[in-house]
Amino acid sequence: MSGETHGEAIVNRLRSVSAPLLVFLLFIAAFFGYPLLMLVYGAFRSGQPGTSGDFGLSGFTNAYGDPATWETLWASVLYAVGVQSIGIVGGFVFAWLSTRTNTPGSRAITVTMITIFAIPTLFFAISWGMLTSPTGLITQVLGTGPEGGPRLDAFSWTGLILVSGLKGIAVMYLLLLGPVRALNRSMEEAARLSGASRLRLFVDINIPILLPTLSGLAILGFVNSLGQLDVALILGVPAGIYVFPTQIYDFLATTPIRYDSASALALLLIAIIYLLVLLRSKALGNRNFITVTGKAYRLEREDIGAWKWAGLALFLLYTAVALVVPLVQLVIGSLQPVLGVSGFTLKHYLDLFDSPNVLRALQNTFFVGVTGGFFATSLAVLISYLALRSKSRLAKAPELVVWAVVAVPGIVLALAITWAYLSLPGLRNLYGSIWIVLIALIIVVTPIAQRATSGPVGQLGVELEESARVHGASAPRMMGTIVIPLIGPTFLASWFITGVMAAGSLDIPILLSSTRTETVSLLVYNYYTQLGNGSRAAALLLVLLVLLALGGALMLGIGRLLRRRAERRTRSRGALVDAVRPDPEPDRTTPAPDPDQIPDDTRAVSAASTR
Amino acid sequence: MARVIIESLEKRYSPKAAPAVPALDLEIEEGEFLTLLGPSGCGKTTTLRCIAGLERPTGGRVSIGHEVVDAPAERRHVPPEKRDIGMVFQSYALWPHMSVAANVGYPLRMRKVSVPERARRVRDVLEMVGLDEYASRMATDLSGGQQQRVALARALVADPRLLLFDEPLSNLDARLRQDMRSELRDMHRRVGTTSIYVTHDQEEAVSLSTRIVLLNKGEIEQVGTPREIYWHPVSHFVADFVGYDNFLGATVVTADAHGVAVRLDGTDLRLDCPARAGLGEGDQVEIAMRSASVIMGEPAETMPNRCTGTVVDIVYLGDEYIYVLEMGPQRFSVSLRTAEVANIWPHGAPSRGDTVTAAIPPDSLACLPL
Repeated sequence: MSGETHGEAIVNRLRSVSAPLLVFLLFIAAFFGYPLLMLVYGAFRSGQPGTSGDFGLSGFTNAYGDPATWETLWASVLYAVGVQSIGIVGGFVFAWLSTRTNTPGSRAITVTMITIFAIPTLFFAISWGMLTSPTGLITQVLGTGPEGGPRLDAFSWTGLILVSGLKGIAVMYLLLLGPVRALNRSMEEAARLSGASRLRLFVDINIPILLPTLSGLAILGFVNSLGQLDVALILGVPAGIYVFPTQIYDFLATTPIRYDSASALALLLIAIIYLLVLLRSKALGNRNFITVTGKAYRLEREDIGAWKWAGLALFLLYTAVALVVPLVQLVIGSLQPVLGVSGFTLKHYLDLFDSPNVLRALQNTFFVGVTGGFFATSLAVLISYLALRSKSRLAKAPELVVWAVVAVPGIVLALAITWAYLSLPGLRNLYGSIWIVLIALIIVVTPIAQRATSGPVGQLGVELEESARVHGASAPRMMGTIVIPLIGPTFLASWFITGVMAAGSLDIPILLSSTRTETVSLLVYNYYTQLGNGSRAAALLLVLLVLLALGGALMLGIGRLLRRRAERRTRSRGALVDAVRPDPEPDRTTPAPDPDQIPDDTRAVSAASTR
Repeated sequence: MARVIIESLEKRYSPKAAPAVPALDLEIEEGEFLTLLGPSGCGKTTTLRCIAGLERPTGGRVSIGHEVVDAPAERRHVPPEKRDIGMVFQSYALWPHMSVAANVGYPLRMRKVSVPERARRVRDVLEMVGLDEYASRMATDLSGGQQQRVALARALVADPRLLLFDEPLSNLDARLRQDMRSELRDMHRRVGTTSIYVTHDQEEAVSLSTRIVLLNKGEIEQVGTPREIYWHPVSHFVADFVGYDNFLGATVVTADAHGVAVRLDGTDLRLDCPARAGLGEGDQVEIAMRSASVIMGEPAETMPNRCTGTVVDIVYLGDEYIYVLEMGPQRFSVSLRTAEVANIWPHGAPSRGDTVTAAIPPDSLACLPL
């Protein structure tokens, strides 16, 4: 046994960490960890961030002493349970239909779900708010109820849960797609041969196998719903329904501003969230999530007969409710002189482009979307790659830090950032600038980027890299010629998804934006809540959606173009080789192809590669 | 081409765990095809990776040619890309985003060879592995065997001074493996590059190498030509690994420079074995023999090392029969080709309980000290 003391062991471990890795670890700790610590600090301090104040428990006594807080807690739980029930059941049904049955249009289901996932939550809240307003499309069709109000009212408990559930279904669908697809077919066949009916098989085999996944996702979704601000703010607050995020926002948006109470409430929310995450891992342990077997088995879709038309109808209904009808309402609303008043005008669109606010907001949104997505994806790739390749055990720490952040709601994070950056003299100057919004958005979307990239990065075989090294590539050249081209497509996809999420976020800018750094979603929210500006909000929201769609198409196009170009280039190397005809006469050297006749892009590559 | 010298190579993956390779000494001559043979976890891959520079040794010294490439005591480590080697990996490790030509041309591109020269050399080496028609295909569009040929071409193209093979055939099916084996042999005959080959398959090692190093737990168990390893194993471990399937306890009767005579424990049978140093009268030993080396029936009657035994079991395996013979407390198995059985016993093969004559050629026996 070695005689080293505990202290020596720690020093030795640190010594085994290379300097760049250490710098990176410190950066991760500061970037992700420090704001959360400051949130705790803030809860015990009266006064605003960056000003002098006393330490005390007033934040806690104020927040927890108020019976309204506990009502909010129950309301939040009710809300989250409702949304997640819809999300899980709907997501599971659609995932099953699209991967295991012969329901027509299974590709369309996935594409639709990705679209709904990418659309800012704001869209569903505002469009459904408009649809069920007294002059909305749905109210016009269904008429008014006995008390004169709309028969279907989004500004209600039911509305709140249903509208949030619309997006919840898409999120759960995307998360369940893999596990449902990976269900081992031979287990089902074995059960059928043992005499189990289809239903028995489902109950006895499929559900238990999926249970760890389902419960894990249920908790993840529950946690997300607990922290979800947008819908609750737009549909809940007008109806007098308060959940945690809106309560926190209320503390911060109405005078007297109570930072300490907001922080205390945020801490309680985080405590509940981590407790749930902990419970889940305690209950299920590190049990292997799913029986993913080799690629050998083929995916057979079950013929469900006439039920497939029911499946298709269900999908079409969902698409209509989540996507088509809201879009129609937005288009109509944006063309009305005043929301709900019939008539036709392009005034609102023209106004948008006259307004310096809108142009600035568009610029800001573009900036945080593009750079936020880029940095989040870069960080995520770097983190996964380090964890995969570094021999130091400390290199796995950043992954854990990012997973800790995934549970932190946007509004809580915005508050934490406020504390973190206003409390440090140098960083204080960032407050009120677009950078603070960008930093917060990067933190929020990095876990998503992590999820999107860790799989493909993890599949990067180490031998692919080693063979490059052995065959003459230095580490940086190996990165440039092998690693980056291989993870490029994943990188682009993740960049786009996280960019869209950053651009569509409301809970970060609502706390951190100043008048100069408003984003489009914040502006849409402001217009919508101002009386008489609903049409303008609809117009701006549509502009945002169109821009996001264009961005998506552009990204797809660029990705495809790059892929094609790369393949053409590499194949042209083969054409060059083909051009060298074996020489029949051994004493004459084979005429090498004239460099001027080499296809242009090949020369570009070789020029680039020798640089 | 270059010789490789490994001096007391040590590799520990963590300071506390036992070393994967404790202290290995090995010299690989110029132009040699040396195989590191052993079961998984014997340190053969670790050794190869240290030579490649993919793993940093924790002690000792590795030189390729006249260049010391690893000497941890002097803080010397030449990165893999500066070692001028070619390597074939178990998983082929072809880059899926590149065409066959780009994969094969990569080492040349890294060595800044001009584009036309690159095309010419890629063409030559692809021709050598029979894939010149496939230059513009994507590497991953090829079959497993073709992919491994591309990997071989890539290792060869830059004419490196050393070729390394890390179980290159283990992902191929049996027939393809055989084809690739003879191709590798041809290739080595033609280019003559010093090669180090790692495998756990004794057949592969015996058919390819000029010399075999048998490793066990990071240490060398035996070094020798394929013939030496195959017929003169020095230990139970080696004998077991290269396919000896009968191990019988015996006591040395006489031992000199001409041979060793032993008596099989529990019987009166005296067996002559090849000479072996370090044995004296009365020593307990283990006799190893291959079931396929034993001769039975009439031809055995006039041979040395003759014995009689009782058939206790017969297993039919299609193209061969396994007879299990019992002599007193000892049992051993004999395998006979099905066609041979009819030759030896034209009037009907023996059945269970019959007494038969068998002979074990002295040269096919290995006398292993316990």
